[in-house]
Amino acid sequence: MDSTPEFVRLWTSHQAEIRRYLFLVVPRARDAEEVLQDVSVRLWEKWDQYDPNRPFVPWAIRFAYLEALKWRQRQAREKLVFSDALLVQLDASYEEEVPFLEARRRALQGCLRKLGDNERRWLWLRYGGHGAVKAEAVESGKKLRKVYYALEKIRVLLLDCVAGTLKQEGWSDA
Amino acid sequence: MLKKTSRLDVLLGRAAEEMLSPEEATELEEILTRDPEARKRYLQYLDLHAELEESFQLHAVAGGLGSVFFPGVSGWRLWTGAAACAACGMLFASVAWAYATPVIQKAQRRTIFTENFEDRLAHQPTGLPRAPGAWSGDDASVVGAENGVLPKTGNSMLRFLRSTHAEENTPKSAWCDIYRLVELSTPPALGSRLSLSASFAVAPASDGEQFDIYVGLNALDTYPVQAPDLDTARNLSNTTLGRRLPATRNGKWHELSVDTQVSPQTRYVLVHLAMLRRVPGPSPSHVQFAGHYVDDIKLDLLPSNALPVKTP
Repeated sequence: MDSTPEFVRLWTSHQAEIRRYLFLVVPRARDAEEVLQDVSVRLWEKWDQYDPNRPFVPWAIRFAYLEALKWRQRQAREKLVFSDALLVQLDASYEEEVPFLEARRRALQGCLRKLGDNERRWLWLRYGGHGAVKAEAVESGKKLRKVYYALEKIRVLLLDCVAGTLKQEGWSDA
Repeated sequence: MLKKTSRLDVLLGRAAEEMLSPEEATELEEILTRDPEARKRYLQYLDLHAELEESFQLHAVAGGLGSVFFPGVSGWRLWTGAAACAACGMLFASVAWAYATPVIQKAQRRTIFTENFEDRLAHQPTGLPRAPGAWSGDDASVVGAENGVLPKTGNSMLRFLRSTHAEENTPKSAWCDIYRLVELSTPPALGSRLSLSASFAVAPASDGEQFDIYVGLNALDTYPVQAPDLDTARNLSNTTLGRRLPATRNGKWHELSVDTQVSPQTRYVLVHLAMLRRVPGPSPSHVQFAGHYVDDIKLDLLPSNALPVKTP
């Protein structure tokens, strides 16, 4: 039986999760996208070794981790890239954190609704506006540095809210 | 009032915006290398950043935005944001329309299957189901209140017992899976969504073990007369979706759900619920479950008009 459609279906369904993982260990978006391409090729090469009785994402993330290490080695002279040792540590931390990610993402949706109008507006300009945050800073005469500082504080506020929500829901390890 | 951010959060904010200087990158690496809590914060921070990126772009496309949620954002900017989402061109019309009328009706759900295990013969430990109408899977049994856990609804609930069943030959597993095949009485309309939810409880204990709960569904056009293996069932599926979360061992019920669009060709839904032991790690044999329960299972069909609709 041709297994190509199954690979395409699983990869399409779970690509976003793999991208997120890569974004955690290769934190620049354009680099993470580059590694994601390598991961898709590697997974296809190894597809005959995949055990369909096990979840796809953990299997794919093992290859994503190896590709991230390879990418790190290719970028060894680049100062803004984490060391191999830290990548190993981050991957281990991710293993511990992954069961809580879904609960955190769900809690975030509730926390977004608790924000004030101004905070929501800045978030929208930053994340939904595709560059609109810079235009808004120029238009309103605010320094971009101050705008990013405000965004930083909003993200921390959301992290605190998410942590509080999970505590209320009884996630003692989160 | 926003509180002052820590040095770590400042560095994480600059990392998220790709504005770290080489000196700051070195400083961040040093902090992350020596402090496991900082690594946890880093993962949570960047995952939140990624979730915001995804949520806001999705909202911009699906019509969840408007002057109610994002006051002061001009219409052309909303359009600019949506236009930049290359994958979403077909939904532009609904974006503009939703922005003009931000009030969204709650979708009407049609429940197509519920289970609260009041029928005490409900479960057959025989792997994947052979036909609609009964629970199957690994060893499990319908019980009343026990181990300090009361059924979520009615007088009964299903207890997970063992991560295998008599007809299974696998030497080890940490997953206790149960399945139910549901036949749809009518084909779903184009754009319909399936929503599956179940509530799980784990009796309090202090033995160091940790467990996860799982809810999944496979939408199928056909189902073989002979019970398939899971691989075959997945190959037959037009949609497969699952979600896994850590279980809290406090005897309280926690609901977990999945929701996905399904093809109009869907005739069957394979409901898959599971309890699995996460800690300690890979099991050398099968896992026994001492006080792990599921109850109050619902499978709903949301019609195609579940997308935002105009209200007067």
